[in-house]
Amino acid sequence: MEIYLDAVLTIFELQNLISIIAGVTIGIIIGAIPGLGAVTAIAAILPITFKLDPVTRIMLLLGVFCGATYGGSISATLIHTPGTPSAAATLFDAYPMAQKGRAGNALAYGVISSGIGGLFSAFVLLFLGPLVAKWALKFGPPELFTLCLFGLTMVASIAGASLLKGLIASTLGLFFATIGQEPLTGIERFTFGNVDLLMGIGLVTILVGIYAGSEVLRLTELIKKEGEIGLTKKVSIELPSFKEFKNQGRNFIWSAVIGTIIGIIPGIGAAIAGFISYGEAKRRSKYPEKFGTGIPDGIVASETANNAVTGGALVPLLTLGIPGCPVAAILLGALVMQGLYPGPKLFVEHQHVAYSLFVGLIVANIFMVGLGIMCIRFFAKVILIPKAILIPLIIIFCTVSIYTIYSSIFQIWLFFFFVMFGYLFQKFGFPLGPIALGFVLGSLTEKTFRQTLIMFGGSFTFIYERPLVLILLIITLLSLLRPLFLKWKERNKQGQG
Amino acid sequence: MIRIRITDRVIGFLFLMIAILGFYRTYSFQIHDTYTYGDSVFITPSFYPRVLLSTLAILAIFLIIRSHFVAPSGRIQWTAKSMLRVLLTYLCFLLYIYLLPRISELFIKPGMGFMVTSGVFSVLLMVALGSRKYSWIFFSSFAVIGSVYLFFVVLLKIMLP
Repeated sequence: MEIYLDAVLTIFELQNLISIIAGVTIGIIIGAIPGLGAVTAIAAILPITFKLDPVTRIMLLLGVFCGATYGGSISATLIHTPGTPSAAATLFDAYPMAQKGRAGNALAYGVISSGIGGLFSAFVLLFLGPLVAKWALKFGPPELFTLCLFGLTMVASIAGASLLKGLIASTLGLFFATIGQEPLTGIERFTFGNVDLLMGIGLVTILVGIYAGSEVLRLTELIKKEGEIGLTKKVSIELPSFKEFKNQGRNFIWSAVIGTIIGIIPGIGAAIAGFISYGEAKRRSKYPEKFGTGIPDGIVASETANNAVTGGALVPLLTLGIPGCPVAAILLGALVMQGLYPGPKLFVEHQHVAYSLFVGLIVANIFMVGLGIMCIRFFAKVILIPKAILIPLIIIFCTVSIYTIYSSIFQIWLFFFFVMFGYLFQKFGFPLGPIALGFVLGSLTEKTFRQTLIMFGGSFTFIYERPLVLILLIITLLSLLRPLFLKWKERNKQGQG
Repeated sequence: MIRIRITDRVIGFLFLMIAILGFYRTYSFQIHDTYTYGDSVFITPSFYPRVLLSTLAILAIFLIIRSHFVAPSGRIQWTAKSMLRVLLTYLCFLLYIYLLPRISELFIKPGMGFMVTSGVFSVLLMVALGSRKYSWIFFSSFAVIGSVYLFFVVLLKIMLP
C-alpha cells in the first residue's frame, strides 16, 4: 500500500503533472491530424524526453499515447477522416451524428468513452501487473532469452499481409542492433573503421527515422490544396444527460473489457479492438439497424475499446518485456534508453517507476477527459493546419532532438538514411513494426543468449534442464505457427466454398 | 502516373547481397580466444551476427522463390507531382544536413547557426511544398524554432553546434 501512496505523491509532483498535461495535449493534437497516429506522435516526441527524469519522461509518453489514441476521433467526427486507424470504427456513427447537428454531443461521447476505457484498463494494469511480474521474477538469463524469442515471434502478429516480409524486417532490425561495440566484450562489429559507428545506431535515430521521418515523406504525397478541408462551424462540447449516460452503462463495461483483453494479447491493436467492440455492441443491441445512422452506442463501443487497449498493451510490456504493438516497442525503447529494462526486474529494481507508471496512466486518462472537454475548440482547429507547414516543422523538430541526444552530426545522417529506408521499405510492402521490435530486443536477446551459454558451458542443455524454458519455447513455436495455421484454415474454407 | 517496377525478386537479391557481404565482414571480428569465450563457438562475438545474416539469406532466398510463383508485387507508383514533392523534400533534407555544420561555424554563439539554418530551411520547404500563407509560415517557423531554442538550449542547457 505504501508503494502506491508513494507513487501517487510522485505523480502529483509539479513536473510530472505538467508532463502528463503536455503529453496528453500533444497526443490529442497529433492524433487529430489525419495521417499522424500514436506511433508517429510518440516517435517524434521521444527525443525531447531524453534529458527528463525517468518518471517524468514516461508520464509524457503515456500522456501522448492516451491523447493520440483519443485524438483520432476528433477528425473522424468532424471531417469524416479518422485521425488514427484506431478511430476508424468511431466515424460510422460519430460523423452522421455530427451531420445531424450534434457534433458537440458526438465529441462528448467520444472523450468520455475514451476516458472510461483508458481508466478501466489502467486499473486492470494496476492489479494484474504486479501479480504477473511476481511470477516472472523466477526468470534467469535462459528464461529471459526464451522470452526475448517469444517477444520476437510477435512479428507474426504485427507483420501485416506477409509473414515472410515481417520476418525479413525483424531480422534486419536484429542485425542493425549488432552494429557497433558488442555488449559483453566491446569488440567492434560492422563499424568499417568509423569511430562514429562505435556506439552503434541510436535507438532514437532508427525509431524516429523509420516512423516519424518516413511518415513525413508519405505525407508529402498527400498534400492537397490549402483550404480543402471544410470545417466551418465552431465546435463546442455538449455533455450527455445523466440518463443518457446511464443507458450506456453495459456498453461501457463490455467495450472496456473487450478493449483491455485485446490490448493484453500482443499484436492485435486498437483499430481491431474498435471494430470488434462495435460489432459486439451492434450484436447485443435492441436496435442494431440504427447503428451507422448516428447513435451514441457506436461511438461508445469503439472509443471505449480503443482506449482500453492502452492499459492492456502495457501488461505484457511491463511485466514480461514483450512489446505487443509498435507503440509498445517505442515505449520499450524509451525505458531501455534510461537503463530501465521492462520485465519482472523492473518491479524489484525500479519499483518506484513501475508503480508511478500505473498511477500515471490513471491520471493521464483523467486529464485527457478534462482537456478533451475544455479545449475541444482548439483541438478542432488543429485539423486545419496545412500539411505543407506541418512537414518541415516535424523534420526540424526531429533533427534538433536527435542532435541533442547524441551530439553527433553522424546520427543525423543516419536519421536521414532511415527516413528514406523506412519510406521505401513501406512502399515495397514491408512492415516497419518488426524492424523496431527486432532492434529494441536485439541487444538483450544476444546478451541473454550468451549469458545462458556461459552459464551452461556453451551447451544447449538449458532447453530441457529448465522446464520453464521448454514451456516458453513451445509457446514461442506455437505463436510462430499460429498465423500459418490460420492461413491454412482460411484456404481450406475458401476451397470448400 | 510514374511507375517504377522493382519486384520482390530484386529486393530479395538485394537482401541476399547484404547477407553475403555482411557474413564476409564477420571474419574481421572472428575471435577464437578460449580464455575469454571457452571452447564454445556459440559464445564468440561473430556467432550471433552470423546466425542473423544466415537467417536473412534464407529468408531472402524464400522471397526470391516466392516471387516466381506469386504475381509481381512491390511496384512503386507515384504521380509525377507527388514523386517530385517526395524527392524535393528529401533533397531539402540532405541539403539542410549538409549545410547545418557549415553554417553553424559562421556563428560565434553556439546554437544560433543551427537555429538560423533550421528556420531558413523550414520556410523554404513550406513554400516549396505549396504553402502561400506567409503569415502562417513565418509565425509557425519562428514559434517552433524559438521554442526549440528555449527548450533545448536555455532550459536543458544542451550545447548545439
